[in-house]
Amino acid sequence: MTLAFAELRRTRGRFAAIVGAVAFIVFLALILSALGDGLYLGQTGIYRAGDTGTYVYSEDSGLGLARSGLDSEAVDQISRIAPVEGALGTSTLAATTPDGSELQLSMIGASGIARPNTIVEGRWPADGESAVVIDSQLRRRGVDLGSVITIVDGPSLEVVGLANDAGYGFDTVWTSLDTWHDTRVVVRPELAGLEGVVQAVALRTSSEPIRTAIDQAGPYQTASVSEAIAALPAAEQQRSTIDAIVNTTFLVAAIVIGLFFALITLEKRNQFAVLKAIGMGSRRLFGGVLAQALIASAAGFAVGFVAARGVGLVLPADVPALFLTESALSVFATTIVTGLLGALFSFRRILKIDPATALGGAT
Amino acid sequence: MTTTLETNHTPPPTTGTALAVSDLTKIYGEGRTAVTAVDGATFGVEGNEFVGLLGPSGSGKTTLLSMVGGLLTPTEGTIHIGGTDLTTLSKREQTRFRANNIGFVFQSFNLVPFLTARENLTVMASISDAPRKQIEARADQLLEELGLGERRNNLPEQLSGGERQRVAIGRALVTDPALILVDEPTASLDTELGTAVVKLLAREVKKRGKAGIMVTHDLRMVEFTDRTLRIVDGALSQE
Ligand SMILES: Nc1ncnc2c1ncn2[C@@H]1O[C@H](COP(=O)(O)OP(=O)(O)OP(=O)(O)O)[C@@H](O)[C@H]1O
Ligand SMILES: [Mg+2]
Repeated sequence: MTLAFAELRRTRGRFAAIVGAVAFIVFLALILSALGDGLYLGQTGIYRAGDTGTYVYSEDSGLGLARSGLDSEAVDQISRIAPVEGALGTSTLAATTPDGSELQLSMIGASGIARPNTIVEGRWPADGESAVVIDSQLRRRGVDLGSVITIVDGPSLEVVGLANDAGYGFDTVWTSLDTWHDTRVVVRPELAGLEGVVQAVALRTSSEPIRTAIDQAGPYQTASVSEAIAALPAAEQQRSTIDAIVNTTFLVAAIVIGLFFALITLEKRNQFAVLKAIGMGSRRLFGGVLAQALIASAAGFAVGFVAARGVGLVLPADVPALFLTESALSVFATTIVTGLLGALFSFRRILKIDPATALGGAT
Repeated sequence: MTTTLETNHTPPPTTGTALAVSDLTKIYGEGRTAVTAVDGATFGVEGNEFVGLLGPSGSGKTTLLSMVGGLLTPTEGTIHIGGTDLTTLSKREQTRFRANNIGFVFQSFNLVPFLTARENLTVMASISDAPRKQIEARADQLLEELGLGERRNNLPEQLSGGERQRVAIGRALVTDPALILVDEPTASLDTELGTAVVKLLAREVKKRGKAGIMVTHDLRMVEFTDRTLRIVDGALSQE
């Protein structure tokens, strides 16, 4: 082990190369994960932020809120099967911030358990109050508690609350069902007669028999939270695409580290033969290579992590990057495992080195 | 111990000597392509004896030395070092035995390039079973004796060829092994330096009561040995 550390210390330049390569890969993986997490969580907060177990949509909606509609009759019918404890409605609106910049707004009208339970500052607006709770990502646009958002050709809404992880695609604001309805009617007068129509209702239960009963009771379609998320058009594809890219990156990393140590082992064949001849066991020699690979991986992770976080700080506000500790931990674990696998490449090679080749000269 | 020897003029060695080799044979390959590299070698080396192993190229010197050093499994025969028969040990036991009981000086690639002269000696503390303190004390003493006191903190690349071989001699001696095996130590040195290194080696081996075997091509080095073993086509003869 002392040998392995001495080598690290005295041949720093060579190890700097592998640390650099690992750091670059870790950097890529972290940035990609942050983008993936940001995209995914930014679009799925609407379903995750409440206490809902089951969402009910109208049939043929394909579990898409915009294509779904439930009138009060439907809601009554559903509530005869299970208590309806909340409702959701959404619309996309153009708006401006106090400093005049434009927002593409996702406005969510919500009630009961469909409202976000992640309000960290401020309060939920009263029914019909011209006020909203914003997803805290909107702060990056300079909108904050007390700001006023103006709907283009529509009302002004005061920000009275702040909720974490409550996004739905664009810049997300939440409000009461009444205010949601009033606001969208201003922009789209043809929807005027539809007070009381919501896009989905929320049940606390996730019981299968109840879901089946509702599905059979009328033109309804039920979904668990994860099914509702999976039905979001882009979220799942983006996530799996980014996961695939990250995994490929690590495959490359394993090959790079593996080749590096295989090359070093090849280059040190004579030295290893001498060490074996004077009585060092294969396991000790391999232990040294393993320790070096671990140190190189850990150092590479540290450098890549700092670099990724640094870039995260200067990323433009509209890039939805989210640096999650869980993702960093999983990248760390993968880096270390990759380093180990890379070192394993040279295990057999080291075992096969014949100490007898130390004798007989430079042949 | 059997004594069926055709080529031997001296009585067979006993297991009491530092090194006792009996009827040692190595056949490489099989059938028509088989090569008998060493053919029934029997000899002994006493403690405080420095023996030269001389022979033309391809005669079996390296093969013989490898077997004696526990680096190559003989086809036949026994090798006793201080009472232990090397040929009965497992690979792992042999590795450990080498660490504690045999000192090697190789022709090249001897030293660990990223360790200083002193560290190339003290590394044996983590290889052999000897206590670190003892190895470190011996290392310092040996470096002085070998004229390397000033160079102790230099890396091999900062040392001359002769200095490097002296470091290698120090490493071979630092665990206080019973047997020292040396493989053409002068091959990469000019005559003057080579002579100095071999002289030093002979002095150290004898002073410390070691059994030493040195493979060499160079007849001029014979003058520093107590005795020469000659090998031709795998057959050993003593003089
Ligand atoms: N691994 C091997 N496989 C087959 N034959 C071998 C092997 N090693 C050595 N030989 C043969 O055994 C014989 C003795 O070889 P050895 O290397 O012991 O000679 P040497 O005296 O050390 O020669 P040199 O002075 O050139 O180093 C030679 O004929 C050689 O070709
Ligand atoms: Mg040879």
